[in-house]
Amino acid sequence: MDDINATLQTALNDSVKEAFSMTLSMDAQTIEAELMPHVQEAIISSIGFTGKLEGNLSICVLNADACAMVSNMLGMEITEVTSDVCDGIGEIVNMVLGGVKMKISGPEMKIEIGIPTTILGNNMQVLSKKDKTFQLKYNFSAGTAKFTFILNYKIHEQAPEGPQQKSINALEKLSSLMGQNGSGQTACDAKQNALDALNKAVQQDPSKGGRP
Amino acid sequence: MKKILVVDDSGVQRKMIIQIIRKAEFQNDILEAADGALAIEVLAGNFQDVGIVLCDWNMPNMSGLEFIAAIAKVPPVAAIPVVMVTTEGTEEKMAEARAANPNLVGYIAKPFTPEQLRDTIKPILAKAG
Repeated sequence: MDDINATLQTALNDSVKEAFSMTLSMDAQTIEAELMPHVQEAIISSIGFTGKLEGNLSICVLNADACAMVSNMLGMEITEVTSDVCDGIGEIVNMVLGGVKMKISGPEMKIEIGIPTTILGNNMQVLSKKDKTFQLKYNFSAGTAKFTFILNYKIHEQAPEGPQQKSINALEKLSSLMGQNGSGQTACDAKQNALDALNKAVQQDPSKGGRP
Repeated sequence: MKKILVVDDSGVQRKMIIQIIRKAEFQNDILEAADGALAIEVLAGNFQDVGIVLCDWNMPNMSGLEFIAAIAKVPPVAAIPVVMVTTEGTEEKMAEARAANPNLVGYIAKPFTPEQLRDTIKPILAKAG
């Protein structure tokens, strides 16, 4: 347990620093101060994972700091929280978790990553610690921005066998069950329809000798 | 000049990739799609013009892996070079992607530098014309 915890601590800190350096051109450093406010407008973006380790990684950041971070990502000044800001914060947590996965993965340690969910609000906290669940929490600064990463995880003695059938994210599962792709058709229908259209287009391509 | 298809569910990630391409002074037109199913729709109307696909892995509706496996079964489209741009950077995932699409010619793990993307796509675009 101590080994995994120490490995995750190093992997998380290194992955945050790499993601900020490579994608935001910002130097991220851990800081001691308690950052997560309870009264100010903030963004929380969370992404789940399953496998030998199961849990989620979240970033908590004030709106103004989120704008500063995504401004660096896109090389343009953003002063209000837009869909790009939410998307960008989700992409940051995705990259950080991807980095953690790369650093800890091996024959005995496999995890599958979900898709980020981003929430805007006031007075928010990440409170998912339960029995046999461990939490790593680090505060960082990068430029003038300050933010917190929280990794909640539990360890399965044996990784689930075979393909991952379990839903990683409850929202994904709900969307899938409801077939929410904007037209009432299921995701499976949409995939098949798109493939049918591609096959049809290829067959109609005169350069391939197909019928118009 | 062949077009570049960028497939990623993150609009910000697509914008970042497009910025890198433009800053590197590639003049190719760029097409975008937010998941695999939408990318297939884009290809249906443009497959003759697309010279490279840059594809994320984890996306809703149809993942990047499902997408590259699907297009590998459609002969003229299967010839389009594919580069994965993804957080799924383990050797195991790379092997899975290679098995899904034999025309996978590059693999970029996020986070990546502009230079990594530029250096990966430059020879592919030069060959595609």
